[in-house]
Amino acid sequence: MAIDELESLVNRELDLVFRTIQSYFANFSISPPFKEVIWKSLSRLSPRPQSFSNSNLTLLFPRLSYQACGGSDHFPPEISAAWYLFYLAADLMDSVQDFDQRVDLANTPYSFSEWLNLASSYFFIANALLTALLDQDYDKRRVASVLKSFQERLLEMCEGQQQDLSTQEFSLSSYLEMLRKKSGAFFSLACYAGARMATDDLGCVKNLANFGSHVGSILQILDDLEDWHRLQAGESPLSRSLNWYKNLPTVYTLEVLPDDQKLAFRRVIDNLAERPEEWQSYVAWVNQTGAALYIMTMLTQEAELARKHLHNNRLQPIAQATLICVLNRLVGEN
Amino acid sequence: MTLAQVVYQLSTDSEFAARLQTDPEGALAEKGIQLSYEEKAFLTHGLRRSTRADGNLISMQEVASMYLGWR
Repeated sequence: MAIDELESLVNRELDLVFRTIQSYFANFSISPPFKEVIWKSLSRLSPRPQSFSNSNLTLLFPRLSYQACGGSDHFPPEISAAWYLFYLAADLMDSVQDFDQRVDLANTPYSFSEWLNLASSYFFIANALLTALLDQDYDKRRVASVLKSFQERLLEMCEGQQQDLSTQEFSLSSYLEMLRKKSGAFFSLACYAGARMATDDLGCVKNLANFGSHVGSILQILDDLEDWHRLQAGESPLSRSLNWYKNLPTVYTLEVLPDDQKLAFRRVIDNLAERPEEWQSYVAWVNQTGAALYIMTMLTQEAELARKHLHNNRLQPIAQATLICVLNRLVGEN
Repeated sequence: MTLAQVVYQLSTDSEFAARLQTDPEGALAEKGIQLSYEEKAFLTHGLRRSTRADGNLISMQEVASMYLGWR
């Protein structure tokens, strides 16, 4: 499937997500000014048609998973809308906690504290969308499973975030485990929720959930690479409060270096914040250990494992092929 | 030995890297490395995508550029 076709699917889904949120919003007993603040903040965070990126493709996961598991034409848009709101809220909180510039929070009418409050509002709206499904003409057991899964996976994501925030230095295995909890759980949820609404075939549902989990790990690795994009583009390591111990190339390098060299490498990382010229030295260390090959191997591994979970002849072929197409675009194998 | 350690060996030991290209089983056995069938496949694929036309491995900067603007 061509990228413009995928882009058009994403835009349609996004439009439906906004219409769904708006229709629920009309009935919420909150003041019109606060509704307006929430609405404006949502619009500010949402992707613009002219700035389409591959990460937007993940918005298709709930619907495609539903279709892959044989769902009818009546996909509940509340699932995509709720997941999208959780996505925005989690991204916002992550950005605020990391003082990240991924979401340009500084140049907005809201303070960081206000953004945290808005993120909490998104969580509650998402929860309202999901619980409303219980009053509609959907299988109650499936809706209950989806609700439970949202709670459990989001808590798992919070656990991963807690590990990320509280750990100074990760071993390679604990870092990968943290990525799985932080991001794997979240994208697994997107696929599980759509698939579970379509079927009671828990084997198929599990396949989709596992697919999402591996995609989540891929996205987290790409997030780490994004830090490199910015530095290559000329952003000084000084200008960001990046913790270079929490980046896959660093974690890998610290894992494989002989003990006598680890100390020297740590010294370089510790100096990065105050001496930007150390950046070249840092780059030389990670290149010398083969971090690039390791990252490419990990991306290959996660993508292959994700594909493996879609090799199920009970899945609907068009949705299955579209999910693979999205995966291929994410890992640059299209 | 983990996949990470094999990648490190491959990147720092040119003789091992060269032998891995021609005789992967022998090279791994000589180092006492046991990888599963799947791990070997991931590594081979990763290696194929990480090797430049001149035979050298790509750098982290190049990997980062490959995924520029994914978000």
